[in-house]
Amino acid sequence: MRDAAEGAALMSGTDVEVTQTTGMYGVLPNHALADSIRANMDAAEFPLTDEQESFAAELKATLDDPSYAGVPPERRDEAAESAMFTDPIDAPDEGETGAYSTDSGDVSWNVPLGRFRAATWPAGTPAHSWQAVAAGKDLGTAAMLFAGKVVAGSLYDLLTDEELLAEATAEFEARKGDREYESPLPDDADPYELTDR
Amino acid sequence: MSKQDLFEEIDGERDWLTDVSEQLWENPEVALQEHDSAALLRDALREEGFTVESGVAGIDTAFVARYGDDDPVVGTMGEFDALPGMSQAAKAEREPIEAGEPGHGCGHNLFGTGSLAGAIAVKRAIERGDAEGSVVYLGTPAEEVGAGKTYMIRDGAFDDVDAVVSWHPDWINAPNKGSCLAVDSFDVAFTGETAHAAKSPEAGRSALDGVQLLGTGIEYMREHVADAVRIHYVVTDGGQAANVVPEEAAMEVMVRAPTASRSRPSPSACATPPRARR
Ligand SMILES: [Zn+2]
Repeated sequence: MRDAAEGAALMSGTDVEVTQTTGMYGVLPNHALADSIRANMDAAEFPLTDEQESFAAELKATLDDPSYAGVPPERRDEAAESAMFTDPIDAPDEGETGAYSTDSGDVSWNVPLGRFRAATWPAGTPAHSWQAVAAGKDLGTAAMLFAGKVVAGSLYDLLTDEELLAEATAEFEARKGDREYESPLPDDADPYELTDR
Repeated sequence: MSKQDLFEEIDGERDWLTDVSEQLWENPEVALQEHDSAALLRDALREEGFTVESGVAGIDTAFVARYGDDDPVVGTMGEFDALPGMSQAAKAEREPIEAGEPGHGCGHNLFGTGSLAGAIAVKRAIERGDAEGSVVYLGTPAEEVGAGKTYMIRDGAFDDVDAVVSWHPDWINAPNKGSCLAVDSFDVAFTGETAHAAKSPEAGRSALDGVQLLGTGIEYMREHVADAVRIHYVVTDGGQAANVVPEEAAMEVMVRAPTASRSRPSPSACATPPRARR
């Protein structure tokens, strides 16, 4: 990109200045932590009240052509039929590179990072939708408490099981290899400029 | 101690935790303006016995809460920023509470509070002597505009943390084992020489030409980068008036690429055709 910019300047007889404003790393996954998370999901319950169930069904009915591509093909019918898809499943994204970016990527280059998702929204609800907002007040608190238990369970495992921490650390080192994390931020970067962009 | 004891700590605080989440939901604050939200979570952690450092990395709403002095140090992250224009009532029909106002369209009120629940349960296990080590809660603002965490990392907030477990709202319960794309964002500014576009165009050098040539160059580049690479751009300054050769013109360019298979993590390097790489 910098070379193309130089070329464009040369062709047009202008000067060019390329300034990196920000950046994010891709996520380094950690299977050791993901497996601990998965095990804790089985140990934690996911209690929904009848009111929450029926509100979820009403909300789901308003979704316009929801996609269930986020779960493996054999579970899609089930997801389409459930108001809330609360059965824990194995990582559906193993070996994949999602077409999104997150500042958690940078975290994963600095420390072993275990990530998971919890079902705060009716099956098929996209993030950044009004249905996600509507679900966030009461319905989503079941998943919030569930997520709190999974976080607690995995952090507790890390504190009490030396082997898990050693495994997670070794995997982190292996995935990183000899690549060093360099902050993508320019030296004079100002976080408050982010919101003006 | 069993896992169930740990989980019971959270069940015991259920009413209080749902109240914290609801307070965040009722007062949605957008990136870097999450002052009340950050204060609510900080106060909760302080009351529980965590030591809280605010204003981390020069961001008022970034904080690190810590409990314990021993190793290892485990952590979780909490986000709490809302999205602009997403105001919506807790109803099964589209109805903004206040049209145009922010709303928690990414569920970060649940995110911040769920992680709070996790941190508190682990703190109590350490306090009881059931586990040895320390627990930190990293209050990471401005996720929706990206890079809040990147600033906290540069400031060393994660330096002594041995492992982090974090989550995000969605509609499934599942761990993540995948990766995502790295991104680099650039401002590209061209400077030429202005001239009257009719009387003396030969005296000028158009900065807008530079912008257009770069756009064209990027289009040609697409064929020679990996499938997963994404390049997007907009023209942020295209000159002032058509009868003046523009002296200044600028673009914003974003380059996304997978990092895992590359020896260098910079996506802009990945997006450069190999033969042109220097
Ligand atoms: Zn989010």
